[in-house]
Amino acid sequence: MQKTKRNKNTYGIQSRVILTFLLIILSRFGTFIPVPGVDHDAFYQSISNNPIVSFLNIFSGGGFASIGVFALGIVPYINASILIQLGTTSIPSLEKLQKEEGEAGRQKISQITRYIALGWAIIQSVGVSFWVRPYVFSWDIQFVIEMTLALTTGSMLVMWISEQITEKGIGNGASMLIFVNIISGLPKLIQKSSGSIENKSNLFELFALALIFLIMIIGIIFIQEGTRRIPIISARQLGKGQIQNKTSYLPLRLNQGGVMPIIFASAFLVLPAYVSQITTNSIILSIATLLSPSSANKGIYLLFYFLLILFFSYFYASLILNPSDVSKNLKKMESSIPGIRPGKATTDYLQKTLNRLTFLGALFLAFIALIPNLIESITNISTFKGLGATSLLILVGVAIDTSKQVQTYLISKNYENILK
Amino acid sequence: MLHTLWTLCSIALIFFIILHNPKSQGLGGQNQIFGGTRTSEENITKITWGLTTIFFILTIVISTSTTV
Repeated sequence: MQKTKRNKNTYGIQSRVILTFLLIILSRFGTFIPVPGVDHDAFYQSISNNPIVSFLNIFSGGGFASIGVFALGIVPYINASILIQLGTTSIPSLEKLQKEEGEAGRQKISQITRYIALGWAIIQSVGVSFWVRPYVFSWDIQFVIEMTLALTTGSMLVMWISEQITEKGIGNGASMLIFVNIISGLPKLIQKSSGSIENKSNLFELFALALIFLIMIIGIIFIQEGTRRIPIISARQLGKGQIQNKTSYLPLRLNQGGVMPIIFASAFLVLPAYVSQITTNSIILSIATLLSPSSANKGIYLLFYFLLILFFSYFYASLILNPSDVSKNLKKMESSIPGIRPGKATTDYLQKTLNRLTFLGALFLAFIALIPNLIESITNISTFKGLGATSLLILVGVAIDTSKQVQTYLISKNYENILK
Repeated sequence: MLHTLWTLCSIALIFFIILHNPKSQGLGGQNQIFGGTRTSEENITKITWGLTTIFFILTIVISTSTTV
């Protein structure tokens, strides 16, 4: 009897993992299905040396190098999410939907996000169809329509796959897809960088790089997991006259948003690269190249990156943890933070602590993001073209989030069985 | 002929994907793993899968037949 129960537990998680795996394979498959009407061989040859395209390739998982049907990937959906998230702060009707109407409001917002993703996909597909003009057999309005349709459908499909993964698989669909996209670029990257390793001194450099890599990963895990514990005392404990050994606490994470602020910040960063592809206006172009990683003055790019991470971290922290809600709940539970009066004083204290934590977390993140660039300028090794700190942060973040989710799921299943 | 079929399939696919209303929260935040779906949602999902297969097959056929 016990054995069948345990099998039932793991069956749920097993089928989810298998489904996720299959869906991911499907999403990769789609990147290799060529869009009809384009001369792919010529396109591929001329594209492989373009640095901006290789930067864009990270997020679409290589779909850009050969204009597969899934070339746009999950990018339109992510950009739509960013827009909506930003919109909830500035547009009051959206804000009301998200914060006050509960689950129904959130569903409405997610539908709006999907419509915007569709719009974005259409606009981007039109842009791409103009961009590939030199490589097309017969470029006419019918081709533009067809290509737009193909790319938009592909992107919508990827969005749908990500939703299926979120609902019926493990992890957050969009994060998983980005994770997979980054990983799929790794073999090529390793091949490229190992191509320049010939003599022993280079081998030593490679070893040093691997070590730095490891340190970065450890640092990222610390930051993602770091929590500040705020001690809480309940009124009952005070009433008993002495403070018991077991003090409960309120955990505040260093990085409330987890991996989301990084994904959003990096998606934002790709925008100048996109813009520089479609316009020929020299002013816009110069601004765009200034803000891209291949510019001469890396400082501005890094500053921009840092500000974005900071912004999104604060933004996400305010979404996830609302200090006034927390202090209200504390009041309800008749608990309080020792030394702070309940009510407004608690709210202020929480807000202040949260601000400091978020700033510290963002600082660490930006520092981690800087490390490969620093190493590059010191040792002159062109590190990890494409596997920058961003990708690493996303990889580690998604891995941690997903494994936690799986653990929580298994634990809750165990509880269910015990109750039965 | 094949092209019109492909166009119709793509438009239908986009339509059905938009129709689908995801239950859990999109990006960001913890996700609760939900249980069963309503039958209409299931039907939409099944239709979407079918259209996806047709779309893939048609795209492959069209793009391999037009490359010179």
